[in-house]
Amino acid sequence: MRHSIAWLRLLRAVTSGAIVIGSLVFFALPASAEHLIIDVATPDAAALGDEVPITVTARSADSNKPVAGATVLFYAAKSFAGVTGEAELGSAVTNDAGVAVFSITVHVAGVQGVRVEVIGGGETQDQSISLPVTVGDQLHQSEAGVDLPGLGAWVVVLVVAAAWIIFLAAGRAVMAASRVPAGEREIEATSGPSLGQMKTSHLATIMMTVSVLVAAGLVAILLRSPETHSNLNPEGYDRTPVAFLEAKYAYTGLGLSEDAVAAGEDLTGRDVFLRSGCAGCHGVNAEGTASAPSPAWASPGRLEQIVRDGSVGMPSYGVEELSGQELDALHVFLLEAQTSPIVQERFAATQPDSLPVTTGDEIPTFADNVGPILTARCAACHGSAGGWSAADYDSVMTTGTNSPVVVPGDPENSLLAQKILGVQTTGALMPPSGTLPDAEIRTIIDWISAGAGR
Amino acid sequence: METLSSWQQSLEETALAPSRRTTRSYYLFVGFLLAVIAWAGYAYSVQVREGLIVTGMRDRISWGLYITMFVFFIGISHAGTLISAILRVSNASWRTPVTRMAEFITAVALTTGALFVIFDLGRPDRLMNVLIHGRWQSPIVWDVVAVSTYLTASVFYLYLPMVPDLALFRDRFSSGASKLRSWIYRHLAINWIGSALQKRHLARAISIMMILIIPIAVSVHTVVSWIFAMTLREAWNSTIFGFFFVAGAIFSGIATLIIVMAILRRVYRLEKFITEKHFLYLGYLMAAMAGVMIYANISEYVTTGFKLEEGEDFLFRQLFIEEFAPFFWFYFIGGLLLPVAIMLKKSFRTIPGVVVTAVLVDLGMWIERYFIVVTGLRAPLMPYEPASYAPTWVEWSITAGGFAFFALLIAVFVKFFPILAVWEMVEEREKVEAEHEASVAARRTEEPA
Ligand code: HEC
Ligand code: HEC
Repeated sequence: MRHSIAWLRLLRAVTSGAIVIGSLVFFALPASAEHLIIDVATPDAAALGDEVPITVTARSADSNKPVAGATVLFYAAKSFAGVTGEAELGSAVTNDAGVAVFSITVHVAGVQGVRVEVIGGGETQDQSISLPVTVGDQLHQSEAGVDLPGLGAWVVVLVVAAAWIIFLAAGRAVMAASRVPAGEREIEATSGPSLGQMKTSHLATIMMTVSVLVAAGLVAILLRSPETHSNLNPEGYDRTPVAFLEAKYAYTGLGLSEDAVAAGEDLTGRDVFLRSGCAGCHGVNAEGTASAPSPAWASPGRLEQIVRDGSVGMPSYGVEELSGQELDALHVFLLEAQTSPIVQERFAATQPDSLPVTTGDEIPTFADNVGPILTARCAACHGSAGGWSAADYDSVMTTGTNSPVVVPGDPENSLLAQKILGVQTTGALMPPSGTLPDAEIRTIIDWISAGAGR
Repeated sequence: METLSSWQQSLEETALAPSRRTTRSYYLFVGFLLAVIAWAGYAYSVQVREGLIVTGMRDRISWGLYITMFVFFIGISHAGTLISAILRVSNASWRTPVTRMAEFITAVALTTGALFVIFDLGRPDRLMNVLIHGRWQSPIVWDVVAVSTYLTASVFYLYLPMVPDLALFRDRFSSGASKLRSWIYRHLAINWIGSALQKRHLARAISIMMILIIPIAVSVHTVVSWIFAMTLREAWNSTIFGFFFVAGAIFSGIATLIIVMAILRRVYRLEKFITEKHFLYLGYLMAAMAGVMIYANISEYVTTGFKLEEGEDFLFRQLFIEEFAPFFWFYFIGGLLLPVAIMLKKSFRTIPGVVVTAVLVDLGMWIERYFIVVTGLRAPLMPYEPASYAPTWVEWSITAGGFAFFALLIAVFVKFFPILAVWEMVEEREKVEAEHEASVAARRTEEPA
């Protein structure tokens, strides 16, 4: 069924964008007695919504020296709808001190498991940690009603019991009527035909007994009901973990109904976007959410690639789930979305006010100036998903479809510089939402001219 | 003028007639009803075996025909309460020939309606969970309590005024009747001999019940409406739902009473006792209730429509111009405006006119129940296209079975029990005649010697 798939995707989206960790323990013990020793450290406690750094230290068992340049992969243990497995959260590379830090936002309460895998020095080591995540700043938790002192089940019980007691009063009158005084019976016996053989009627008694039993049953249900459900009792409040949804989007029912079309008809890109569950992660208007960036600027090639292959936190869709035609429709929809106010607004909202630009003759460095600018302005779209990555110095210098995009000392031939100036020969101006402030552009260009150092 | 005793005799004969003679067409009719019920039984067995997947109900629209039938029949059951209890409390003298049927419709409709809740369960074997795990904060539990209280009250209230008539049957059937019959009457008549003391006790019991049953009936349909109104659904966010449901219930109850009355009158030749007057009076009541319903509808839709919030907008569209528009306009024009119009026009104020109106009203009210249930669930709560619902053959079969069951219970009832409240009618007539005599006597003394 179509919409149950969509539901599943939505839920999967919420859980898989979501992650985990907690705890104290410094795993001092080596995971294996081989050549690589790893330590994994996390904070003592984590609450829902917290950003939790996982610090991994790798050193060599032989020399006890830090291992730099080892790749560290992070996986979360997931289980949903009876299916369990691991989801890759992301990766990091150890620095000169042999340390790699990776931060995740905790979206799900309960005991969460994370596995860390370190690949370095020609071997692989892994370690699992698991820790409870408490419900902290939950976005939405309803209060269990207003507590009116003295108001409880007994009010309902009283009303019901009153009705049944009045029944009994009527029943008593019937019983009285069924008891014929001896004198009258004789008078009637001569005229009435069958009275002679009649015994006193038990019907009224039976009816009253049944009434009393039913009434007692109803009262019993009402009286014991607080015992059968504990959800109004905070101690008994033990429900499934509550998902942490950082943003709430207005429900646009009417708009949807106009788009809605019967199965078999051509779907618009927006229908596809909603129906395939993209909206669950990327926002109803493709504006992006905390768990997934806005897909509005993806080129047709990028769209197809990521939809078919999936990515970190993004499911893959086969042709039977999303036809080529539907992909085209999606792209048209995403193109339109670029100009929609909510997408623009959300993009602008994620932009910082002031970045560490340089002035005058100062020589910008990556660590102090350019890195923060690229992280703030570009990393939302240029993550580890493929193409050029703005994650760190090495990836800025080496990755990209047209790599290298930075030619030290030669801004004119650096694609990065061309694209932020809008003089590129391939693709679009960067960032797609409009040119950067002049000071930032100048800082980046100065940095490239000065040799693009760390 | 016919003497009281000969009038009483013909009344008693008329009341006894259905139990005395049974025609072939009666058996054919009952056979037909049984066949429909058997088919519905088969459909239900399919549903129990395969689960609710054989119905059109799904995760999003999870209420359909069954809940429509439940609400409709509980509504119809208000016939007895209004016609009988309210008219009795207000001492409307024309009521006596129609009360018995009204009270009977109440008991039968309630039984039928309650059955549909069970049909709506995918796992009827878990029915007892309502009792085992029910909690008083739940409108469903209020409903269970209210409906079972009402059912008890209405059976009791049907039975009490019938006791003297049962005694009449006991006496008339004492010889030559089947064992079963005499056994039933002997026990149900609880030694009734019509003594003054017995009459006093019985009158007491009746007056207790006739007052008690009115608040119970009102509470029942209010609670039924709360099952909707207390669910988080745009279409059901209404403060007047309780009132609206009770008014609709009385409205459809009167219509059903008119239809049942017309059929029984024709089949069992009750023309002498149930006259055009009764139809017209009920017709007026029905038109008055139509006025109340029109007012409630306008008040509800104008207030929400004036503000027209996003969700409401969706509801208004589907109700007034899209999918459900034919249903809504049939209900509003055919089921509400037309009845008032017909009763306003003198040439339509005839028995056929009133009966046709009643049929329209029942159809309209059934449809209203249907769209209240389905439109409310259809509006999506999440960003997806609206769900759709279409009943399957299983649901239609069980629905048909429900109507057949209702008709069957009435058909069986008329064979065993007095369909006219003989003693009440006689009492009423005695009263009228006594008044008449008194006025004649008064006039005579006034005349100069
Ligand atoms: C479970 C959540 C989820 C769902 C469902 C989902 N995505 Fe994504 N999507 C993501 C995440 C997370 C990313 C970021 C991946 C990365 O950076 O590698 C992403 C990235 C993308 C990107 C790349 C954006 C860019 O500019 O780099 C596109 C395009 C995209 N998604 C389109 C879609 C479409 C189309 C659908 C529906 C068919 C969809 N997504 C469904 C989570 C989701
Ligand atoms: C809203 C998403 C988004 C933002 C923000 C963004 N880009 Fe891009 N970028 C893209 C897309 C989509 C492409 C691929 C299409 C193209 O080349 O125009 C791309 C391509 C590029 C390329 C070519 C990559 C390659 O692999 O050859 C460079 C270089 C680039 N962007 C630089 C930047 C810089 C520098 C910034 C920050 C100032 C930035 N982008 C911000 C979406 C974005």
